[in-house]
Formats: sequence, C-alpha cells, structure tokens
Amino acid sequence: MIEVLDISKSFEDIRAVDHVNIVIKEDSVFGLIGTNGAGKSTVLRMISGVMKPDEGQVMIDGLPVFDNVDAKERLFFIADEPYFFANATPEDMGRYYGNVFPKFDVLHYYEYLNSFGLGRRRKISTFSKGMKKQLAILLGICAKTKYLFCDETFDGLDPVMRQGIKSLMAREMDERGMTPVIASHNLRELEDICDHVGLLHRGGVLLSRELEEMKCNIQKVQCVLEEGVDAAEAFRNLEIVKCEQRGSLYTLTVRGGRDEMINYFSSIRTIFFEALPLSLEEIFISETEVVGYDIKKIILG
Amino acid sequence: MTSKKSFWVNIRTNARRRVWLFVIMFLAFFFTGPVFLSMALSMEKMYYTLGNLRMHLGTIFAVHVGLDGGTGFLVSVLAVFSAIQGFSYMYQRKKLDLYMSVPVTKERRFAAIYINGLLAYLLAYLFNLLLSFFVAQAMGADISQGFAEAGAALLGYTLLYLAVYHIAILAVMLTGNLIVTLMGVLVLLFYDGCIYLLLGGYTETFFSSFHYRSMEKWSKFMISPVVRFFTLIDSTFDFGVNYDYYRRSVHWGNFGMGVAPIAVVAVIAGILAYWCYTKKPSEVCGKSMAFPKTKPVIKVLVMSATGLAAGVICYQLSGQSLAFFGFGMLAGTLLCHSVVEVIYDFDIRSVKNGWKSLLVCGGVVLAVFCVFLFDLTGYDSYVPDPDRVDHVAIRFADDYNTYYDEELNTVNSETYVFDHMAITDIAPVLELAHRRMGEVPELGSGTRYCVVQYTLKGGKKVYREFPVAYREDTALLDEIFTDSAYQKGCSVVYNDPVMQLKESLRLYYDDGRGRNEVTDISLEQLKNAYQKDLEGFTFTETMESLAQGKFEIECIERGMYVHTSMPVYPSFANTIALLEKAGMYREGYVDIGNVEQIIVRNSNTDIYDSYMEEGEYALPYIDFETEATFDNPGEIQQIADSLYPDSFMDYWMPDGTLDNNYSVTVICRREPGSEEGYSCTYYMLSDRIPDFVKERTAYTPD
Repeated sequence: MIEVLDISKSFEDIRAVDHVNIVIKEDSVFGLIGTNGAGKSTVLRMISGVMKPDEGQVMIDGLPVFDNVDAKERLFFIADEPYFFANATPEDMGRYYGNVFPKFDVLHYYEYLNSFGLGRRRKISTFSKGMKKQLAILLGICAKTKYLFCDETFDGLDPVMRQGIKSLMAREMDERGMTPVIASHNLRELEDICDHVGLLHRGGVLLSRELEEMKCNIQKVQCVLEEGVDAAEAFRNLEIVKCEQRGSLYTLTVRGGRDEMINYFSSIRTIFFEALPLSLEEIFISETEVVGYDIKKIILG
Repeated sequence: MTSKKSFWVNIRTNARRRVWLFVIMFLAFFFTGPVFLSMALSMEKMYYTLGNLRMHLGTIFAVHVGLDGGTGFLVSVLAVFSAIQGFSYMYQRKKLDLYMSVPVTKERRFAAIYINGLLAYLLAYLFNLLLSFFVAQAMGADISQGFAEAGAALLGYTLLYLAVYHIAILAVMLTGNLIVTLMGVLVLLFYDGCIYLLLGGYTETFFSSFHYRSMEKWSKFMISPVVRFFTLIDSTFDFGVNYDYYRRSVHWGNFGMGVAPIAVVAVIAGILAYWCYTKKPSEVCGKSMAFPKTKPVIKVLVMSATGLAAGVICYQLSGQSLAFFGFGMLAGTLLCHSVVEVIYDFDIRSVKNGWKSLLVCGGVVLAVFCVFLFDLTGYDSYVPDPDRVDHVAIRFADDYNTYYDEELNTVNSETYVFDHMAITDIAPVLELAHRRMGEVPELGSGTRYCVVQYTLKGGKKVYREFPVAYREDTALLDEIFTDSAYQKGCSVVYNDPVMQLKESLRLYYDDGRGRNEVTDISLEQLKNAYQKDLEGFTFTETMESLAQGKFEIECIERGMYVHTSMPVYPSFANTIALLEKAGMYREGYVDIGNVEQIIVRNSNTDIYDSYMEEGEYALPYIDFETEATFDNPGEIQQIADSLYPDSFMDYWMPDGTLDNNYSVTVICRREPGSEEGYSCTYYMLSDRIPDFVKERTAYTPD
C-alpha cells in the first residue's frame, strides 16, 4: 500500500502541492487525474522518491520512500519524458536496469522487445517518441516491481500499442499483483483501466474514490417539466452539481444513485426524463467546475 | 547499481557509460606525455653535440616527467571536466527522474561517479608515465634522473586534480546548470587570487611605502589550488648550471610545504562538496543556484571585487582622478549586479532586482577605498615601536651582489640580505624610517630607495620601502654601514658557501686593465683581510671614493657554476697590502706607458634631450654619435685620469659620477710575452672630462 500522508511541496513562491493525502491500495489501477498545473507530476515524483516533500511523508508498504533503497526496489517510475543514456540501445538499458533492479527479467524483456518490434541493438535515439514510450513501459514491466508509476505514459502510443501495453499490464497484475499508478489527462484511457481515481486541483485532492463508486454517485438527468411546474421547487431536494436549460429541456448533473434519481423524477411532474451515466471526463468537468474551474469562465472571462 | 549488488558492479556500470571520459583522459596524457617526450628527445639527439648525451637526454626526460605549469593547467581542466561530466545528471529533470527513482543510495551513486572520475585520471596518467619511462629508456636517456621528478609530479598533480575536482563538484552542487557551474568554478578557483591582486594593486597605488614582500603574508591565505600549484613549482625545484647541461633537483622540504595547503583544500572542498550533494534538492535542476541563501552572499562578494577593480583601474588610467574612481566603481558594480541578477533568473528584467545588495556593495567599495585613500590604517607612516622590534635588515637599491646558498644556487640579493642581516642596534634604521616614510621624492633629486625588514619579537616580518637622500642622511647611513651586522648581512665576504669554496677555485683580480689570476693569495687570507677592512668602512667612504679594483671568485663545484666579486676601495689597507705582497697592486685603471691610442665615443644624448624639452617629440632619426681618436701622450694622460672601468659599474657611486654620453676604448700595445695587444673599455668621470675631448666629440651638423 502506498500512503501519501499530508504532503506539500513549494517551488520558490508557488505552492505546487498542498497537503495531499492519498491511499493507493494494492492490486488495483490508480488513476491520477487533475487540472493543468494541479501537481500530478510533482505528486508522482514525490511518490517515486525523486523529490522530497517539504512537509508530510510518502510511505510504500510502510517504508518511507525518499532515499530508501528498500522502498525504491518496489517501484518503477516512468517519467513523462523517459531518459535513456546517450547512444544507448535497448540492450544497454536492459543491462543497466538489470544491475539496478534485483528482479529484472531479462528474458521477458528480450521477448517483449521482439513482440513489439523494437530492435534490441538499435540506438534508442533513432526511435520515435511512441517507441521510446513503449520501451520505457517494457523496462518498467520487466523490472518486476510491485508498483509501476506512469506519468502521461500512454500519450503518443497508437491504439494497437496501447491495447498491447494494457494487456501486458493486465497480465502482470494477474500474475504477480502489480499495482500501476497512472497519471494522465486522457480520461477516456483511464476510464478503461482504472479502479480508483484521485482528482487533483490546485495542489490539493479534490476527490479520491473507486471509479465505479464515483460513477454511481453522480448522474446526468435530462428532463422536460410539465407546464406550470416551478423548476426550482421541483429540483429543491436534489444535490445539483450543474444545471443547464435549453428551452424546456433541463440537463442536470446531480449527486446520487441511478435508482434514487429514477424514483425522484418519477415522483415529480415531468413530461419526459432520462438518467444517463457520466463519463470520467464529465465527472472531471463537473467536479472541477464546482470549485471554479469552469471552461466558460476561462473563455468568456 | 543496487545496494544488494557489489559496489564494483556500480563502478563498472557507471564506468561503462563514461568510457569516453577515460578515452579523453588517456589521449590528453598520451599526446602531452610519451608523444611529446619522444619528439623532444628526438630533436635533442639530432642537435646536441656538447657532451654526455645520455645524461642530457636524462635531464630532458626528468624535466618532462616532472611538475610543470602546462600539465598542471591540463590536469585542472580535466578535473573540472570530469566533475561536471560525472554529476551533470543533476542539471536535467529527466535524468534526475531516472537516477533518483532507482534503488541506489545517494552515497553509493556519489561514490561510483566520484571514484570513476578519479580513476579515469589516475589510470591515464600512470599508464602514460610508465610509457614515458619506456620511451626514454628506448631512446637512450638516463631515466634514473626522472624517478624523483616523476614521484613529485605524481603526488603534486594528483593532489591538484583532487582539489580542483572537489571544487568543481562543489560548484555543481551549488548550482543548477552548466553555465553557472562554470562561472562558479572560476569564482571558487580564482576569487582569492583576485582579492590578492586587488589588495596588492590598492596598496601599491595608494601607499608609497608598499613593498611587494608585504604580499607574502597575504599569499599564505591563498587557497586556490591552481595558484598554490604554480607556487609549488617555483619552490620545488633548484636550478643549477652544470658543465654542459642544466640540472634540476627536487627540493622535498619545499615540495612538502607546497603540497600541504593543496591537500588541505582538497579535503575541505571534498567534505563540503559531499555535504552539499546530500542537501541539494532535486527540484533545483536547471536553475542558477541550488541554495537560495547563497545568492546574496556570492553576489556581494563578486560585486564588491568587481567594483573595487573597476574603480582602481579607472583611477590609474585617469591619472588618479577621484571622479573617475567613482565612475569606475559605479559602472563596475552596476554591470556586475546586472550580470549576476540576469544569470540568477535567466531574465533580463531581473536587473531591477536586488537593490539592497547593490547598496551594500557600494558601501563596501567606498569604505575600502576610503581606507586606502586616507590611509586609515596608518600604513605609510608605520614605524614599529622599538620595544616590539627584535632586529631589522635594510637593503639599498644599489646592492647588486651575487650570493650563493649551501647548495651553491644563486640567491636573489634581496632574499639573501633579509635572510642574513640581523641588525639589533635598530635606532639608526628607525630614525631613518621616521624621517623618510611616506615621502615621494622628485625625479632626479639624488635619492634612492631602500627596503626595511622589521622582524618583530613574535617573529612577524613587516616590510616598508622608502627613499633615502644620500647626502642628507649620510650620518645615519654611516652608523648603519659601520654596524658589523649590516656588513655581515650584505657583503659577499661573509657569504660562507662562497668563502669556503675549495674545488677548482679560481681567484682573479681586476684593476680595470682586465682580470689576472691570483695565485699567491688564498681565499682565507683574502677573507680575513677584507673583513678587517670592512670594519671601519663608512657610507661616506663608499660614496666619496671609487673602487680601485675587484676580486672575482669563480669555480665549478658540485656541478654548480659560481661567480661573484668584491670591490677593493683605497681605504682597504689590509687587502691592498696582500695585493702588494703578491705584486699585483697597481694604481689607476690604465697602463699609461702601454697605451697606443684611446677612442672616445660621445652619444650626445643631451641634443635629443634639448629637442625633447622644446617639444619636438617626432624627431627624424639622426645619429648624433661622434667618435675621436687620441694618440698624443699628453692627451692620453689627461684622458686616463678621467676613466672608470665599465666592469666596476655595479658598485656604489653617487648619481652623476659618470657621464653616460661617453664610452671609451683604450687600445694597448702588445705586452712582452703576449702575442697581441689588448683593449679595455671605460666610462668617463663627469667632473674630469678634458675640454679637448668635449670639443672633439661635440656634434656638429654637416
């Protein structure tokens, strides 16, 4: 288990991470999402032991991670821009990580290189951006660490490769209980694979929940009220996150379960109503809008 | 590179990624080592014809494998390069992401990079040193001469490498990108040297009594290993002249004293570098400075030095104008402030930041300037309290004697005097100092400078330079001259290594007619007679009488060539008695009866001077020199009375004694027993030049 305990980090006068608390359980896929500049990469770098928090602590399986070899042997960090040694080949990188990570599986690594069509003796500098990302993920998977931290790692991968990598991850999770922690802006991508999502905004955690739970607790309802019904009165008992009206059609984002919503709207005078599930992207927009991160405000001022 | 793997795996993994560092080190030492040596030996073999070639090549080899400035510079550059290359991962976020997230302890990562940086140097240097020995042996050099030199060089270079390497690592840890690191290396390596030069420059500019030896006490505080290394080279080797090749030997005592500060700096810089490494946060990569608190400190230090330097340069260039000092100080400080702020933030708009530190610097610079301008420390009026002085030594500017140390190496006359003169009757010297300290004499006023070394009771040495008016200060100077401690400290006859020479010693006496070997007087006899004569010898006699002749002592002993001389004055009764007894004493400087003709050349430089006085600086080239030959016995007699041998020019005489316009060649007939005649050269005494000589050598335009 990874415990992020009240960590904060400032860069000169800028508070990049402000008292963040997250718990990442084993055997799940954790998605770290957030607005631009929310501190996702900073949190991930602190969880990886690259940076030391100004306040608070990060524990991996009960061990503080910063400058702790035992803790770091349990994690592999794939940065948003993975670094490979100058003029190195995949073979060189494999040799290096083989020396660094005690469980690094060289045979698997070479197999995967073949499967993904990455020449083991080709200079990495001649690889495309996507190929470099594939290589970084393969190195991470073959390091056989318990936790794999990916910062925007799926960006730049074509759909086939993304699927291939996801399959690999799934296999590793099944076989040895690997726990990936993935920071990304691509919410649709995360939606497919994440079990748990942490949403960061302005350096703090806006929410951290199981994805299903998150989806179940917020609904999008479209309805048309009967003539003469006061909308404010009709919606009075709802916890509305967002409400839009186009003519007589109301589109509401409301907290609560699907059945609960159906029951509620059945009980008020509507001509028509429909409860739709929210995508992760919509949840993200809704939740951040609540705290003032509203695209309309950004565009229209 | 995990802690569970062997440490040597860490080293190997790191070394594999830094192969090219090893290659560069190897190539650098290969080309400057065995390749350059083989070319040098090859050339020597081609052109050397004088004597023992094997020994000569051995000397070339020894010098080549020994300490030298060029290799020292190369070692320093390589150390900086190695340090920055090894720890440059700290400049880039993506490299840091990799290195900091892998399971390797900070300590082990540091050790692996550090050791490889050191190994790259050591392996390359040692391999090429060994290769140089093989090359020299194969080319016929006596390699035994090189062992001590090579040993000293190995230790000296390695300590220099370590010190610079540690300082460069420290600079990497204090900064966040390459450019600022390089600047940091320069500041750390040369800041103290700049302060030293600034102090020297200010003291020399503002204090007339400054003597460069005063800088010695400050030089002890210099920590720059590069500067220390160059001092080490100077102090480590003794140079001597042997029969047919020059010899250099290692002075191990001086070497030890020289390398000790470098070793201390290496240790301190190493500890600091490692401490900063453990404290350096990852997020500073790419930024200018790793630790924000160091920013104003470094800025104030650099800015103050720049302001002071710019101020004093403008002050000197403008003919000591205070306004220009202010301008220079302001311009230098502002410029430095702007550069530092822009470097700190990588933003030209940052020039407007940091005004507080700018004001602090302005205050520091002004305060320092006032200290010097108004002599607030009393430097120029300093004469120590007699109770605090143990002894003094004084050296006059006219002392050109050549002295030798126990190893028969020549010793700078100033060094010799300050090492050997210990006047305990300090009153005349202190009175002279009280009278003349801080005076700036006018040009042509007949004054000369002297330097006094006050040795205080605690052993501290203080130096001051001031003018002496030979005519007005005669009484005090007589007291000083007749002090036996003074004579013992500056007369060659008390220079024991010379006066105890035995092997192949040759003693000559020159009375202006050329030198003749003295066989009937032993060095011991000369020493005793001469020392007796010096006992009552006053300054007044020195200035009022001219040297009658001079003894020359010459020999080659222990492979060293020794040559020095001692003047004989008319009052030296004991010495003259020895010469008379040996049948070598003759009055005057010329054998009148033997002179065939005298040729007098007059350069007529006073004509140039008169043109210059009239403001005609752009004179076309005109040769004003005239020449006249005299063979009339009457004229020869008169001219002979006005001559002074040019070989006696090194001895004391009042200004204006000789007229430098005239140079004279006296041609003598063949002496019985010799095959041909001879000639001697002279100058003319100003007050005795016959009118007919002046007339016949005056310049007359065609």
